[in-house]
Amino acid sequence: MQSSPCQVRSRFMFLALLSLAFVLLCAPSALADDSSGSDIEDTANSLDLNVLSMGLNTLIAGTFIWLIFKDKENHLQNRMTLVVLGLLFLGNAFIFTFQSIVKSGFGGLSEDFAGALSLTAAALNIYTAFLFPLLFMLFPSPIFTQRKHFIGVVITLVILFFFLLIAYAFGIISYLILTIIFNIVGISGFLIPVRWYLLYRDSDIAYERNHAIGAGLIGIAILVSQGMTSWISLLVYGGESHIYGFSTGANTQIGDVGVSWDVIIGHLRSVVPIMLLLYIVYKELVISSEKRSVALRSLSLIILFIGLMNAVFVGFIEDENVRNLWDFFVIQGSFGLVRPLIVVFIVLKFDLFDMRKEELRRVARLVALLLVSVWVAMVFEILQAFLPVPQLLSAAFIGVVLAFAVGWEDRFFENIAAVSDEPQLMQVVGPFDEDDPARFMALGALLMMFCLLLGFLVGEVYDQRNV
Amino acid sequence: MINEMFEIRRGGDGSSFWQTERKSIVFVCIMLLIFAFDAVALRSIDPSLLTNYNDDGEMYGDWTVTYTMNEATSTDSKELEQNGVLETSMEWSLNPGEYLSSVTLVVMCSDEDEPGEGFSDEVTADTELAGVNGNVEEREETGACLENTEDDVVLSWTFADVSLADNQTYEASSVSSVEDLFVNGTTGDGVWAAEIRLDVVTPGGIGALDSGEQITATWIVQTFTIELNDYS
Repeated sequence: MQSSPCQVRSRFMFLALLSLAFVLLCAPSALADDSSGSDIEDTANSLDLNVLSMGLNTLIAGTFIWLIFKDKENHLQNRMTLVVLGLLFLGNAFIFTFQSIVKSGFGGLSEDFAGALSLTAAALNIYTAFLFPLLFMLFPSPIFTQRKHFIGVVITLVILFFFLLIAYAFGIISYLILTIIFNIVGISGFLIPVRWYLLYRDSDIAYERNHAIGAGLIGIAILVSQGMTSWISLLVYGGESHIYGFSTGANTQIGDVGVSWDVIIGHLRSVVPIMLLLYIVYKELVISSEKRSVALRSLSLIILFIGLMNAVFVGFIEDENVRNLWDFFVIQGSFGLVRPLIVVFIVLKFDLFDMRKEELRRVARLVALLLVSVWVAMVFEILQAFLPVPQLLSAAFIGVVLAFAVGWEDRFFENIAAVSDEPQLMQVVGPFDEDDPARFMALGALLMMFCLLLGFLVGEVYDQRNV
Repeated sequence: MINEMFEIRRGGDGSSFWQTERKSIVFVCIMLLIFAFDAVALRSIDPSLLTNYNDDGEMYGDWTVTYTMNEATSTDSKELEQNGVLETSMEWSLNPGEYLSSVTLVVMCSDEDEPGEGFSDEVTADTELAGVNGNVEEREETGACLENTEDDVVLSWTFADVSLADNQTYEASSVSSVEDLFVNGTTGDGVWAAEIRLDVVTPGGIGALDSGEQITATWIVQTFTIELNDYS
């Protein structure tokens, strides 16, 4: 039974007042207790943030996977996009899980085990990076219309993934070769959303413009973790932050002559995301109002601003703890915090599942609330490090924010989900088979298991070498 | 086949290839220019100007630290009678890059002409450290000149903790931040002096046996130098 708007408002006001009263009651005692707040050092430890990121990514991955199998009437193209997104978030969830286990120590992990988990996380990082081109191939619209081409690219990517990981792990190829191949794959993929955006952002047809906006959004969501926030480095001779590293100023790999090729080639991977961001910012500021996308403009400006903040932190903050925390925020936070939000927005905005189905809508609302809860907790965890806000007060603020969120999710859905019979994006059936979502999920799961196996195997090989 | 919305337009509809694809072409050209510029710029930079130095010219890196220990000793010896005094001192200065680990004063005396245990002479070491750089605590200590013991009074001052340099690694640190770990060892040089006083303890009736003692005071100064090796 639906609540009336009046009931929702009353419930919301009641919760808000209750939370506010709780804050006021707790504030004096909480403020008086100096030891109750977690300081920068605690937060810079980043275990809490890792755990929260793990939860957030697991939640989204689980939702997408549920949607893929629950809503089989959904267009295959949408389901395939959700498969890749689900695998991406599942991969990230595993990365955060392994990092959390290693960081927490779990009451005494052996060095071998911790090393194997770290290696698995590194392998999963490469795995998720290989999903980027696949995702760009599918969204906003598949770039191939025939199955053989699509499958051909997928097989090529899988073979390359196996080859790179095994060859590098067993010392067959150098890090430079790995970086070069990785960059060729990456940059080729990055150029896909760039092209969509360049082709159709100015189009007079809304349907075409949707492709550009979708590409811009997914481009930022995915490439935000590929150096996009260090856009200022493009203005600094050679890209300072890529040479020095974000936090410590010590990530240098210097040869006898200049900076080593490893660093230079690695740096090039950030050029495309940075150029895309700067162009989107420019375009969204100058485009005519009837073609404007508020979401894309706001998002690009936020990322631009974070980049500016990043430069300030890299350049002026000397406290290592603060810098470490910022480092986590811009690098891990970019795909732990920012990406999930943007992707959820994209999924809703471009109808990647049918919001008209009551069951799906109910679950989506529930997930949205959980997502807001986790996200708000993460933001407060970070804020707590910078501001001397005691834990209790921070928890109370989270309650207040959640009180505001409850009841809003429905309106939020109404506003962004353009529920209509007309597809917003070009839908192509050709490249996909009805069983492809299940096949791709299985393939993705197998590849992740391979990463785990390789992590332990390579850890063993390294141990033997060291012996 | 490529999606018709995504495929490269060859200008078949009357417009030229440049007109339809100019944005993509310009984007890729700028991207290649940045690639080329960065590659040339980064390869041509003088590493000593770029690498590991921050804006203050301070060097950063991942360091392994090793140390080399140096020891200097100075010994004064004298036979003292009742209330006799041995004045001993040692003067030295720290070289650049050298850190003081510890200073030890060892006083030895052996009371071999007492009738038995419990009747030992006593020796008192009283330091005079006004000539030492830094704020070093003066001490006074008394010990018994027990038979067959080597060190009867040992006074020790510890400065920099050399274990911090014992094959330790310091990641992402500036040279100065590593050197700051040993900042306590940058003082302590100067004139270390002490008075060693003998108190002859003679039980009644057997005084003729006790004729004073040979006192030996040894200063041991341990310094070390560190070496930082960048392993990044």
